[in-house]
Amino acid sequence: MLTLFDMGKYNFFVWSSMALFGLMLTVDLISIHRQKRSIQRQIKSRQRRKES
Amino acid sequence: MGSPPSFYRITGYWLKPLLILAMLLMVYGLVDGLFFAPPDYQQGDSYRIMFVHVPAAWMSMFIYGIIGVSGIIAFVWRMKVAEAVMMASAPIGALFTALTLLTGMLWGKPMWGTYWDWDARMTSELILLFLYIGVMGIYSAYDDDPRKAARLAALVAIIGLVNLPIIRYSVVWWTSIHQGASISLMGGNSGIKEWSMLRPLLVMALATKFYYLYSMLHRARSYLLRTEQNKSWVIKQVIED
Repeated sequence: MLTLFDMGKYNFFVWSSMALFGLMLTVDLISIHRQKRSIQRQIKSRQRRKES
Repeated sequence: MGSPPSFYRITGYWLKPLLILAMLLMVYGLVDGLFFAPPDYQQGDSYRIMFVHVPAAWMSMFIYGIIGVSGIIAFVWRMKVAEAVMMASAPIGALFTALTLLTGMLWGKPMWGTYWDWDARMTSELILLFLYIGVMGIYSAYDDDPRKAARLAALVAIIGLVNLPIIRYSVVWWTSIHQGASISLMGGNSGIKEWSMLRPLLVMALATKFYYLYSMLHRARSYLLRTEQNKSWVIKQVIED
């Protein structure tokens, strides 16, 4: 099983690249959802203040 | 689609399918590229970095093209949806450009013996990252007036379009340690010929396109909610969500 993941002397370079790719997409995914939730919260609280 | 409420409503149906498609293609492309594609006869297994580096590099230029075109539309016709697409694309483009530079450095070290060289391809790609940061920076500087901010950001984006052909042809116009194009659309001698290597590369290119669409539409919808927050359709939409 481990031989499947073995990239010889290039292990560090190949797997670091893959990890960077995964990390950047994860950060992007989290940030877009956080951004949307924060805007929705902001609009909802403004609306509540207006109504009260 | 030109009006913000229609854009928001219609694109809402596309988000989940786009994300699922992008993730499935990414898993397939990476598994195929990392475990099934044969090693390169010169570069060994190090060439597998290509399956993230090349699609990221293509995306960095493709997204800037989209920003430039939507910048022209936003600047000339003042379309809000074009402003949203432009500003939503900038952080994703910056992300793919940073990824291109970092994975390029990780590929460069074992192949050229150095992480960085001020050669034309790498320098013009770094300038592209600065352009993305410039577009976002200009917008942030005038954040209190989103329409003005978008027009100024559009101007920077349009001027920056000149960098795209420089990146594309840098390896042709100047002597470079960077290799030439990975695929040749004209059927020339350059580029990858082996289908088992080309297949995961094309799948990853498609996956990153779908991911960009997902992320851009998500961000564009948030942009419209923020800039139109006093409109009744936004309040109705937020309460429904």
